[in-house]
Amino acid sequence: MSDTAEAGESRSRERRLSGLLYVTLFTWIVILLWQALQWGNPEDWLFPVIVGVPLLGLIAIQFIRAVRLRHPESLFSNREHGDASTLSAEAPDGDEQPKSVLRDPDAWDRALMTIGWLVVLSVLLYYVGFVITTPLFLILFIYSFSRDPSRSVLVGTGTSIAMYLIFIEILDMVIWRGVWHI
Amino acid sequence: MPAATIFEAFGIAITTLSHPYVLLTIVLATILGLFMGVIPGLGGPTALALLIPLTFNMDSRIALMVLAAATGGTAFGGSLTAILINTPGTAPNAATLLDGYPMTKQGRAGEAIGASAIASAMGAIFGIVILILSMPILLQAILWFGPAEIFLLGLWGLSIVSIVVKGNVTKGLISAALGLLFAMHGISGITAQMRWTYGLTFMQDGVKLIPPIVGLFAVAEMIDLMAKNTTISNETDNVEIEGKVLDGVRSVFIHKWIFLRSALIGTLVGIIPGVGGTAANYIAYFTTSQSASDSENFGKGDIRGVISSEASNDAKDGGSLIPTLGFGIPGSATTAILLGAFVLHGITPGPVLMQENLDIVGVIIVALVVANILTSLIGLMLTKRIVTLTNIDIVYVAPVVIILSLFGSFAVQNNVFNIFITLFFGLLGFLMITIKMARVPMILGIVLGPIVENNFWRALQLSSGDPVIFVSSPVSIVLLFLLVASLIVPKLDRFSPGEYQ
Repeated sequence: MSDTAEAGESRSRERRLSGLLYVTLFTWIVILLWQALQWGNPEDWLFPVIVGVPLLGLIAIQFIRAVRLRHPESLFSNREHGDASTLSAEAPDGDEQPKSVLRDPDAWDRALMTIGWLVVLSVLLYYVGFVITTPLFLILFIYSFSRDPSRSVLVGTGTSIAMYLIFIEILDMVIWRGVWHI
Repeated sequence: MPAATIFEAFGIAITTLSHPYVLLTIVLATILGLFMGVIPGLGGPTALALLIPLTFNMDSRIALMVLAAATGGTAFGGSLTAILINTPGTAPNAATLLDGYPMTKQGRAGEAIGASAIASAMGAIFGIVILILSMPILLQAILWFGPAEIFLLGLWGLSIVSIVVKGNVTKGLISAALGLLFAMHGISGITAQMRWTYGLTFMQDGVKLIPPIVGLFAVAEMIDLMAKNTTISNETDNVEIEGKVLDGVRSVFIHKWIFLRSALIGTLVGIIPGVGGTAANYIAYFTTSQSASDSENFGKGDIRGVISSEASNDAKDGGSLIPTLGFGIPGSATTAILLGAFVLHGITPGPVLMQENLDIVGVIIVALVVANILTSLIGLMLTKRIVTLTNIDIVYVAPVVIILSLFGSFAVQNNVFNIFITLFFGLLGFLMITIKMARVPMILGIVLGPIVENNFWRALQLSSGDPVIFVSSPVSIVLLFLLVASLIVPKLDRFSPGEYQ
């Protein structure tokens, strides 16, 4: 894929992600404001409304900029309208064009994999606590990306031991043992 | 017994520091800050957020000394990588590489590092001197600020930071407003109404400061770095510290007016709530380059570029402490976290701190001075060792940082649900990085949200509901004018420091 087409694809992905994020935020804030207006006391809802209503306007502005509703179908399809070279021009809102995760499908896959690991980590932490989860997570996470078992075990075990010594033995801190109290 | 004057406060701080255990802790914190400043994603706010749990069981004075020392360490650590491998360890070091790295390529790395070390230390001391000199004025000025003025000051701080951070103004304002909304979750401090708890008991306590900070900075950065699969640099094996360090040291004194102007810029920019180091760095650099008769040399290895950037970067710390300590309004993301540390140790920043805990102010000032001097000395000795850290693959750094982050978040209140809040903000922060929305305004929104809302209602209570109170004093009128100007001017003038980043 040429650089120009790649930039175009990147911008398209960014628009879709931005559009999705802004729609989600807009919906969430509308719900929050609706709930706020159910509170009887103005001292409870006035400030949230003062902040929330202009925020909705700002999000709407950014949504329009992000998806460029001159071509609404671009929100839902991979086809871009117009010359692809225009997509690599500086965005009208003055944003820079630094290297973006969206430009590289592999980067996006790694990001999703990392996020997936974080979900697993949070579940493990909640149920079995830090003592079991820390070495398990470190070893498996590192191995999943590096495919180097010896280094994974070395770093994972070493870090876990260091953390145990520093936080529990030296600093005498309370750690979470998990819902299952392991 | 609390200190009555700042000099008594210094005496208490120096006495505290003279204990060998405390001095050793400061040295270790400085070295740790140096190492963390080198690793992308770990400098500045992230380093502090990770260190706070380590200070829980410490005496509050020692804890704040450790955090102040680490702050000084990360700044210089970031400048080393900017100079040696063209990669700033922290955002405020970004302008340093413009001339620092070309100097390395010319075999003058030692000279650049020497200049950076001295400019950093002296810049920090300059900023602290301004802080000390401004304290009598500050103590008087605090009396001019009632609830209405503090409300407007908080709003102005939010608007400023939304405008000058990286990215466009609208996104910055969205980020700040979201931070305000997050701050309003939980039980209202005014009416005890449960607001937006989503039916979850742990949300009644609202969104505390540390989990979002750790999530938005540490966790989000690690996701982003993992996605980009970076090793910071593959060039460190070839790094040679050539060139004379002393030449660099001498050059700071030769270009003393450039140093002073840059340090002054850093201090003044640091005073403005929310602006932080990155703007100071670039403003000083470009002021120096544009005012030089031979400006074409900048960007090609001109020592003046390194001096101006580093002087302003470290001077801003002293400047940013003025609104933080005096009004409880953070001058930057780093001071926002320091503010969180204050609260954790039972200290209330703002007028109360200045009047009843002046010894704490003295402790922080002394720690910053000592840390910056130590940083420069230790940094010069350990440069090569520190830079080899940049060879570490992010695959090994990221999971360790994430686990430390989650542990830190849990330890804030021994509340496991803070882990979920941290991960939520980590994901949100990563999305914000991806769509180029600044995260600093959100943190400031979370910090300033309670301050702004509570003072808003206090002001109305004082005036029996009459909104005229917000324009009834000269200070409030000035602040209102600044607030409106900060929102309008960017629309009239396309210039924004963020565009230089």
